[in-house]
Amino acid sequence: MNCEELTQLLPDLVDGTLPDDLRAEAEAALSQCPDCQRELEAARQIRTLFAALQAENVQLHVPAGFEVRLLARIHRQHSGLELLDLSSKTFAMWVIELINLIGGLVAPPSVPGATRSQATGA
Amino acid sequence: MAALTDEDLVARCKSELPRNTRSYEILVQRHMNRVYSQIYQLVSNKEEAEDITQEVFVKVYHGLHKFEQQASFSSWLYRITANTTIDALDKIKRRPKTIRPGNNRNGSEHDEDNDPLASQATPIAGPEESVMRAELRECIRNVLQKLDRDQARLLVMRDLNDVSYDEIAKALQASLSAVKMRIHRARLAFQEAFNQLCGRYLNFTVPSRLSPKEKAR
Repeated sequence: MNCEELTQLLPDLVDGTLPDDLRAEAEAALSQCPDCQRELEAARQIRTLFAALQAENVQLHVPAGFEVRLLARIHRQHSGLELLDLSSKTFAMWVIELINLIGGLVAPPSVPGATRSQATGA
Repeated sequence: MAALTDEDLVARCKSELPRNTRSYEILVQRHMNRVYSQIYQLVSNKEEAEDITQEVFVKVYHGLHKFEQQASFSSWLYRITANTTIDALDKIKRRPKTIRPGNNRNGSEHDEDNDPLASQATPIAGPEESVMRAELRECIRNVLQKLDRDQARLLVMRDLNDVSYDEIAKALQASLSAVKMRIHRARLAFQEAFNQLCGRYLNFTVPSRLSPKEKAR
């Protein structure tokens, strides 16, 4: 087993998830790869550090009333979105009305002659 | 009747939400304590931990309809937990610290009064040790923030939340071997940053052979 192959196995070696025969082979190869040894040691230290942090931590319980507060938060968000949706619809209708109004104001006044000629043509 | 699996509940949620939240509530009840515990490990504050836990489950609520169950519900949930916690660490750091009477001597935000770790897990810990532990946790938070975000997320998922390599690979839709090596590099990067920032707590002196480019990968 060369260093490259051994490096691939380091994560499992750290976590102890290698089958026995492969673990024995990897451990035997460690003496030939000082870099692998150092990395293994470093990764094990970090794993141990986090394990210690976890071990301190008994199963905690969320504070009482958590689910009620969570559902209220979701409900508030929904209400907020509905209000936003409603206000955006209202705003869109207002804009359409405004455009129609402006359109009516700036449209050229109807020319009586044109109407007459159209009527004549018909 | 056999208890419904997470996957059954997810399927129900997809057809029931938002009219009916019953299946969603069961999912929340099933996982809330574990999610809360994992978050508390890093933030060490009851209110912050609850707020972040709520944020996680709000994201779950809104993301359920898109969740395709390629990974298990729990690994998806713990991916959201890791991401949300890492994001929250930035906010916590930016927030001004308040020194309350009777708080730690250094004004640490550690929630000593409400800390189950102080009262249950380590009854023999003296005040010096408690302060040291709070400082160490703060240092670990700083190191995680210094890391590449992907590395921080992987470390939190694997080493703090105990999600298996296989589940992480599924949750991130990456190959198992790639995930293993990314986690390995993340541990080495963490160790190096830890030496720089928190060397006073533990004497880590193991050099890494990775180049800076590889560490960021």
